Parts: sequence; structure tokens; C-alpha cells
Amino acid sequence: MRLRLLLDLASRQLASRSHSGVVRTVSVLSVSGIAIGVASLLLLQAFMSGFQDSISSFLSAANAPLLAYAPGSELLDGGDADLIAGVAASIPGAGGISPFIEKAAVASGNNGEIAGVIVRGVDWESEYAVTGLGGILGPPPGGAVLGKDLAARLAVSEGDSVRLASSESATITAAGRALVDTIISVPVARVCDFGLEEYNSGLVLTERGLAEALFDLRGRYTAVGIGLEPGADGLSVAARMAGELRDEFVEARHDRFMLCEAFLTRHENLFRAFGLERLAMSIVLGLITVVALLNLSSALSMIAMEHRRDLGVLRAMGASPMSVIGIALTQGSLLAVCGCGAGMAFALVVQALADTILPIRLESSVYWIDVLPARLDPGFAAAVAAFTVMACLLASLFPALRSLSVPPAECVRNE
Amino acid sequence: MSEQPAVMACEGVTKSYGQGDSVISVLRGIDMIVHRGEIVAVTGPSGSGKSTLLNILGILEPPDSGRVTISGTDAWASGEARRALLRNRNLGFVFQFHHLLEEFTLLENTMLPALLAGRSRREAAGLAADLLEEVSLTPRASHFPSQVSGGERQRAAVARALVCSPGVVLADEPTGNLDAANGGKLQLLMRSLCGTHGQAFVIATHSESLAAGADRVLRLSEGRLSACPV
Repeated sequence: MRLRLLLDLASRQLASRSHSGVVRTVSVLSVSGIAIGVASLLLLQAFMSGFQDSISSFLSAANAPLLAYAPGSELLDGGDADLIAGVAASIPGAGGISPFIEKAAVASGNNGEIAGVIVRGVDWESEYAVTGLGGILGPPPGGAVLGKDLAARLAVSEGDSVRLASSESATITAAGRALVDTIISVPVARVCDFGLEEYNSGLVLTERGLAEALFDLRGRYTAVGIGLEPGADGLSVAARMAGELRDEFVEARHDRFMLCEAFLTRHENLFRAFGLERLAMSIVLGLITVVALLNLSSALSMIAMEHRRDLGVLRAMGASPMSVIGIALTQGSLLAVCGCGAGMAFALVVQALADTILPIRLESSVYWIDVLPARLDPGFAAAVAAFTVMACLLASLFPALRSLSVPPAECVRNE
Repeated sequence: MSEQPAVMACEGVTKSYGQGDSVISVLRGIDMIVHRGEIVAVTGPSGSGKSTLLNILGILEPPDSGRVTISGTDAWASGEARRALLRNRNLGFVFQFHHLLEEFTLLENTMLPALLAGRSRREAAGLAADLLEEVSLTPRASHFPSQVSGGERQRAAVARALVCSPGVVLADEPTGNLDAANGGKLQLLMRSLCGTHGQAFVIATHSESLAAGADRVLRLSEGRLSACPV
């Protein structure tokens, strides 16, 4: 049977107004079931990916992709940084380095409020080369950069000064009192939205020299950030870096043992939890899709029953058994394509709305980010569509074989 | 008529329904030959097995025993795909309740056997339009079955049965659902088409007047066929 005739027969039976309109209603319900299943799977993926990618990209933007450090919070010096730079230069995929100091301090602003902060002292030029901070901050600032929530809490804005105090250089008196004598006043150059609540409420970025003075760490660093070439795999580069650094120590060419890891592995548990949650949700929504497929199968069985006489007439006119199976499979495919199309269209509309006029707001102190973005993956969408169409074809097979099992004489018998 | 070649024959055909003690033998060794261009009427009371015989002759239903040959081919010696081809090329069907596909127009319904035979849409439409003209349905060609009268539907069903120029048209109570006037018109039409196209018609009917117009009348009674004088 030619494809056009097959499509004609299949589509007209699905859209049939005869038989009290039941067939058309059943067809619409089947398409709706598939559309809901497909849309649920796509939207789950879109929001889970959007959430995960968002957190991952905000974390990555403010940090180098790889970190080298000494275990036990041991400080690094210029020799360590030179070794790391040399090893990075020898490994394909690794980029430049940026030594930095990152330590806890206390900040106070104009309103007398005091906040615990993380002060990170960097060389702007090298830091911009290995992180995405350049995209967030613009030209290198000439002072401190505060997260927006921290600035609000301290009631400071650009041009004001913020006082930073460190307990690193505190001395304990004979009476047991701590004397904090390193208090540095620094102008606020920028108030920045880092995208993550953790950074917005507690991060202060400064010149490394200021951090050295604050923490009394002349020529020493807490860690070294390492950049990545575009397209390089952070995990494998980090593993090679770690191996090289270990070899340098084991073979006694360097006296300090250092580790290297991809920055995001520090949040591995978080991303594993995301993955588990996504898997669980996918299973639940996959089951919804299975229910939709069962519904499709029963709908096609009903449609075949409703058109039993027509199938008998077609067989009397010379339609082959394969043609009869072909009609049911074509009906399954048509419902699948319509359902997938409707589900995808709905998912795209929801994504567009969520990313433009109807953003989904989140409590940033709980979820880290304040807007939930949707990122629909075309590859995943194509896989869901292909799976759904295949599953629909499979679901159509039973009604197809069932309609073939009824002898044509029985179908055309006068009632 | 017997000098015309046989287009259909059955030999020793039996058919029973039921199981155990409640077996009803509907056909008990039917022998029958249909020649090209003749109209054969099969009469008999309700439940005598006329429809069953037509279904077996139309290879829509297998006999319990016996042989059915269509244009010299043993219909049940091959698979269902081959039987579908035999039906398409050699047989036309007219049912009591027209059995047109409700979702297709009269023209499209008439085109269907030709499309199933693999003819192009244009060729099928041409053949169907010619036949609809012969049965005076050209103005109704684009109407759906629900939009025309019972007589018009049955004429469209006759046109559909003839579109592939089959050797035999099997008509099961073709006038059973029509009033006397429309039944008479359909009878004249079949006679005229038989003359024009040379197809044989095997008509199962209760109608005395329809049977009277046939070349041969066979009476089916208690599972056996006997010739009746015309």
C-alpha cells in the first residue's frame, strides 16, 4: 500500500467524526497523554539542567577551574607557584596560573554592622586570565569588590570604605584577651552580583598585596588557581597535574607535597545529589509516559474495533495483511508525532516564559540562586522524541495484530 | 453461457459452525462454476448459508473442506498476501449495507480498490469518475456516504466493486436494504454493467424479482445447491 493511501486511511480514521465522535475524542486524549509525558520529561530536564548549570557556572565564574594547594592548610610560596606554572605548561589543556590568598576575616561598614567574610586577594590580571571574573567585574577594580548582599548589610556602596580585620595576626595578652591590630580600611570599588548567595553575602575580592598585609602573609599563598584551555576536560587535566606534582615530591625534586583538583569536585556531593534527584524524577516521569503508551495502545485497539468493518472491507478489496498492520502502525506514529510535537511545543513555550516574562523566583538563601533558569537540551529532546515514537510503534503492534486476527468475513457480516 | 471461460469455481465445499454436539452443517459439498459475463442468483431462506457461500467464494472465509479456484488459481493453496492479491485483481464485493468508508467521499471510496492495486492516484480517479458516471453519481462524487441516499450509496458500492475490472462481482443481498424502486434500478444497473464490462455477478438474494433477472438461479437449501428454472 502506498504511503499516501496509508496516511489517508490512518489519519481519517483517527479524526473520524462518525461513531458518535468517540474515536476523535480518544485520539485527542491519546495525543494529550503523550504530550503531557513528553513535556514533563523535557521540562524536568530543562529545569534540573538550568539549576545545575546555573550553580555550576556561577561557581566556575568566580573561581579557577583547577586548584593546586598543599594539604593541611599549609601555605605555598613563590617556588611552589613556579613549579605549578612549569607543570601546567607541560600538560596539554592546562592554562595559566593565578596564586591567591583566601582567608576568613571580619568586615565592618558605615552602620557599625560587623560581618564575617572571606577575603580573597588576587592579582587581577592573572585572575582574569584563569576565571570568568572579568565578565562579571569589567576592568580591574582599584579597591575591594563586595557581594551585593554584604554591601547592603554593611550599608556601603561604591566609593565608601570598608574596614577589614583579621584574627591571623592577633596576639593574646597575658590576661587572655585577643588584640587585633591589623585593621585595614579599603575603598569599595565595586558592588557585585556574583549570582550565588554564598558569594553575594560573604565574599570580598581585593588586590593580593592588601590580603598579604591583612593576614601577614608576605610572598605566600593559600592556593594557586589554574586555567583550562577551551574544550579541555578539567577532571583529566587535574588528574595529570596531581600526578606530576606528586612525582615532583616523591622524587625529591620539590620539598612540598601539593594536590590538584578540579574546583567543581569540591562540590561533588552537591552535583551527585542533583544527579540522583534527576534520575528519580526521570523514572517517575518515565512511568507517566509508559501509562500514556498503555493508554495509546488501548485507544488504538478501540479505534481498530470501531473501524473493524472498514478494515474487513479493505481486506475484501485486496488490502494485504501488512497493509492492515501498516494502518495501525501509522496511526500509532501519527499520534506519537502529534503528542511529541505538542509536548515539545509546550515545553519550549514554558522555557521561553520562564526565561523571559515569567521567571521562577527562588529563595536565594536556600537555593543559592534567585531565578530558576530552563535549559532545554536539543539532544535530550531528540532522544525523548525518538524513544516515544519507537515506544508508540511498539504499543501499536498489539492492536495491529489484533485487528488482523479477526477474519474479514466476520468484519463485513451484516449486523 | 457455458462456452464462456470459468472465472470462479468451487468443488466439494463444506462448512460447519459450532462445536461438540451443536454442530450445524451450513454447506454440504457445494459444487459450482461461474462463467464470465453471467449473472447467477443464489436464493434460499434466511440462515440457509447464502452469505457463508459468498464469503467462501470471495475467499473471505476458508471452507472446512473442498476447493475454491479463482481464474484457475486454488485460492486456499497460498498465503493470505496472495489471497489479498487474488481478491483485488479478480473479485468485487457489494454488501447489503454498502459498507462504504464513512470518512471518504464517493469518488475516494470508488478509487480505493484501484489504489490498493498500486495504480496512481490520477489513474484511479479517472477510472472511478468513469464508473460513477455510468451509475449516474457524477454530481455526488464529492459527497460523503452520510450525505447521499441509500440507493446512491449502493450504486457507489457497485461502482467500487467494478473499478479494478474483476472477473466476478459477489453481491450479498444488494437490494435488501433498498425500497422496491431503488432495488429495481440497481438490478437494471447490474444487468447493464454486466453487459458493458463482461463481469460475472453472483448475487445472494431473497428477492424473487432480483433472482428472476439472473441468467441462472441456484437454490441453497439444507446445505446443498440445486438449479431452479429461470
